[in-house]
This record gives sequence, structure tokens and C-alpha cells, in this order.
Amino acid sequence: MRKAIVAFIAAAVILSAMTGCIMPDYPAEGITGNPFIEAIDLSEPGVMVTGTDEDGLLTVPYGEVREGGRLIFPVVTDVHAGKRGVNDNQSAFYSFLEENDFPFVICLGDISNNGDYTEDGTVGFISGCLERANGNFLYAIGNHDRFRHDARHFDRFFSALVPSGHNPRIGRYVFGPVSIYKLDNSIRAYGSVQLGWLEEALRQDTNPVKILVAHVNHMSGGTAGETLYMTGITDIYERNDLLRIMDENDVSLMLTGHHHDGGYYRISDDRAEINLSPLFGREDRGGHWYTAEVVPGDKLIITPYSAETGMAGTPWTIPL
Amino acid sequence: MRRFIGIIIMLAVLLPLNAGVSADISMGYRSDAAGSFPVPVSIELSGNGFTGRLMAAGDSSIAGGLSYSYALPFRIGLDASVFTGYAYGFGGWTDLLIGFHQDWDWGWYGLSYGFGLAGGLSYSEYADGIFWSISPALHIANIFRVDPFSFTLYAAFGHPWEMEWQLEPMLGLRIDARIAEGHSVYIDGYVKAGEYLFAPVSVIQSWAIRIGYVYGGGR
Repeated sequence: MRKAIVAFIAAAVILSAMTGCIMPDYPAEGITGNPFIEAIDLSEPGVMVTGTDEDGLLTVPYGEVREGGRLIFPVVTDVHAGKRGVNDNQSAFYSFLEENDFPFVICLGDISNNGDYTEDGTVGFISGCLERANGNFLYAIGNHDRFRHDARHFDRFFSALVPSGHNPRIGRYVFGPVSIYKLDNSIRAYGSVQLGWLEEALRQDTNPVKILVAHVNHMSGGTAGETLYMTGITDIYERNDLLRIMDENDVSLMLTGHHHDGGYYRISDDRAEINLSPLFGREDRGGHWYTAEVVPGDKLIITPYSAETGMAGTPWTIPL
Repeated sequence: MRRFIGIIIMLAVLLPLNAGVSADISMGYRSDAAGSFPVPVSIELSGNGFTGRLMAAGDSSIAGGLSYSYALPFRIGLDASVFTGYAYGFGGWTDLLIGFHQDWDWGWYGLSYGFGLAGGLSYSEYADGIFWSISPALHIANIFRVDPFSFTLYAAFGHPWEMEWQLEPMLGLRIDARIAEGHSVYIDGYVKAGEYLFAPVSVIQSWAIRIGYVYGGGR
């Protein structure tokens, strides 16, 4: 018995040394080349190939806010390229992009339905957005982007769009006074490494407007939509820890998808998570895209649009 | 933490004086997505179908709860429990569980399974609202006995000795060794999966290991 106890203590010590957290640290190591990226012409205006490394996070400067100090950009999620009926909604979204002059598009993940980034539908959607949004396509990884190939396609595809060795799954995009942080919570968890990066980057961020984007809804229950443990962040520590980080660093908004229902979760008077309905749409609710309008020093406005009618719905407003 | 350990030692000394009550005292290590929680210490007291639990992890969290199992024929028990906790910097939560379990015992081999529904409430000082979650609570355990040892291989959504929010599938192994009549020690560990429904990868969200002492047979 004494030997067993000694063996246990030794095992515990070894395991303790190994841990800190066993969640993935999102390495981009070993990713070289990109056999799929030829489908997209990177000589176009896309500026995502440039950026700087700050505390492990990729920072991509996008220039100054236009249109009288306001920043307006479209956001979509859950494209599920290749899924039945997706093309009509994509076409409607393309028309919307063509009618406006947006600096970039954000997609909150599940671009691909099965994680295959060699498919025409997936590549076509990305290139379609690039062509219509100044070559700027911001993306977060979703759980479907891990299907079949466990994110290998996603990583290799998008690694061509960030400097060598950087992580395509997390990043910070700076657009004038607006900082947009994309996170990887595609496995319904962040990991302490990622949240540590985020907290440090936010702490050094002097921009007055900070927005988080990720795929999986951070909240669950309440007005963010019902949950039967299938959506939302699984670990209560993580969920509450990110709330603390958002509070202490004045993050105003988190945009997420995944849930397919959409909804507004009020965190506090000046902080919210807005969960977006998918672009591909459900039979009973149709597809949606959104615009996010930042009025620095005043408010954030998130407006839903119906893919079927192109009409705007009732917006949500978050004071800054 | 020292005070808490002191209480446990005191109870460990006094409990044998109280026949009919069993006790389970453990300490271990847990790592999850948010970080590591060294030396979670827990104590369980059981008697007359009731089990009370108190847990503390480092100086950062404390939790406690009460469960009750009402015995029915055919080795069936109806279970209800409430468990609540608070972690410094992470907020608090409360879990409620109702369900039933059934135990089979063939001497060298035992089988236990249970079904239930778990509801979780969570509150943070950094959010105005309360989160909630509903999860199925399932468990199955295979027990192999080779005197003085017993080996329990179990799978479950969630685990009775960990503070929970949303229950996730986990797999564990517990080895008990009887050191004297009414006294045993054990080592218990598990790994728990993160996302498993909507992603093709199996990610270990958390793992934990503990050693414990049981007086009077435990639950």
C-alpha cells in the first residue's frame, strides 16, 4: 500500500507539472504552404497578409474609420457552404455587399459545412466576399470547420492569409478606434492560454471600442436562447472568467453564432453578447446577415437583415 | 484552507465514534479549461440516505451540497441533490439533480446505473443576469472485486465528486483497498471530454485525481 501511495504521489506530481491547462495552445507550427489558397487571388487589395505580432496575438491594422467617423461592417455566421439552399442566401448577401462599400466582412465560423476547404462552395463564398468587400474577410473558426479534417484544412487555408507561423484562429484587428478580437471557441472552450493572451492584449489596448467575435455562443440560457447543454461554453469557470475579462477591459460586445436561433444577451447596461442567426437559414426562420455600426463615443448598433427580403429588422443598440 | 483541513481531521477522528454514519475524505488535483485547482479537499458524511459534502480547492473555491436517496425495492434508489459553490473570481453556481439509480451485486462483480436530469444556475458579479443549463445526468459503473481490492470503471455525464455546471461525458477509474473492517482507502481519477456533439475531435476538457479514505462503507 505504501508503494501505491508513493506511486500515486509521483504520478500526481508529474501530471501537475504537465498541466496548467491541457486545452490546446492553438499552435500554427508545422503549417507550411497552402495547396488550397490558389483559388483566391491574394494580389487583390486584401491586407490580411500583413500584420504584427504583439504578445502572441496577430494585430492587423486596417486603416482609419471612414464615413464621418462611423464604422459599418457586415457580419454573417454559419454559412455552411454546401448545405442545401445556401446559394440563394449567399447571392442575396453578395448583392447587399455590392450595394454598399464595406471595409471588410466578418464571418463567425462554420463557413464550411464539413471542414473541407477544397470544395467550390466554401472557397467560392470566401472569394465572393473578398471580391465585394475590399478584399478583407475576417473569420473565426467554427465547429463545422473542424469536421472531417479537424481544422487542418481551415488552418492551412487561412495560414496563407496571416504572417508565417502565426495562428489563423485568434487575432486582433484594429480599425481606427475599434479593436476586434477573434477567438477560437470551436470546441466550446477557450483554454487558459488563449484567455491569458486575450486579457494581456486587452489590457494594453487603448482603443475605446473593443469587440470580441467567436463562433460558439458564450452565454446560454435566458434570452440568448434555450440550451440543453448542447451550445454555449461548457466550463463555468471559463464562462465567468471571460465575463470578468470583458468587464475589466471595457469590452462592449461579443458577437457569436453556432446556436442557429440568434438572440440578445444583456450582460450589463453597456455590455452584451449578440448571437447571430445563420446565413444559410432554417426552414422556419430563413437566413440572416447583420451589420455592426460603431459610433465611437456613442453606441454600437447591430441590425439584422432577412436574406429572403433584404429588409432590415429591429436593431439592438449598446451604449459605449 | 488550514482551517478546513483541520475540520476534516477532527471529523475523521470523531466520526468512528458515531456508528451508522460513514465518511469519505479525499484530496487531489483537478485541471480544467480555465486552469488548475490544486489540492481540492472534500469530505462526505452519509447516513440514513442523506449525504452531505463539503469541498474546497486551494484558497480559491468552496462548495457544498446535500443529496438524498430514497430506497425502493429491486435495489432502486430515487435521488435528489442540491450542490452549490463559489470560486473567487469565477462566481457561483448551484446544481440541482433528480433521478434514480439501480445497483446489482453478484459478489465479484457489480453493476450500477442511473438516469436523471440536472439543472444548473450560475451567477457572476460581472453579469446582471443568471445563466441556466439543463443536462441529462447519466452514469454507469462496473465494479470488479478481488479482495481486498475493488476496481470501479465508470462512465457518466458529470461526476458526483466534482463541482459541475454543464455535465459532460467522462470516464473514470477508482480503485478501493480495504485496510481493515470498516476502513478503506482509494485512488480515483477521471478524464472528461469537452465538445463531443458538434465537432469531430475528442478534446479532454478536464481531468482530476484524488486519494481518499472511507470509514463505514461510504455511500
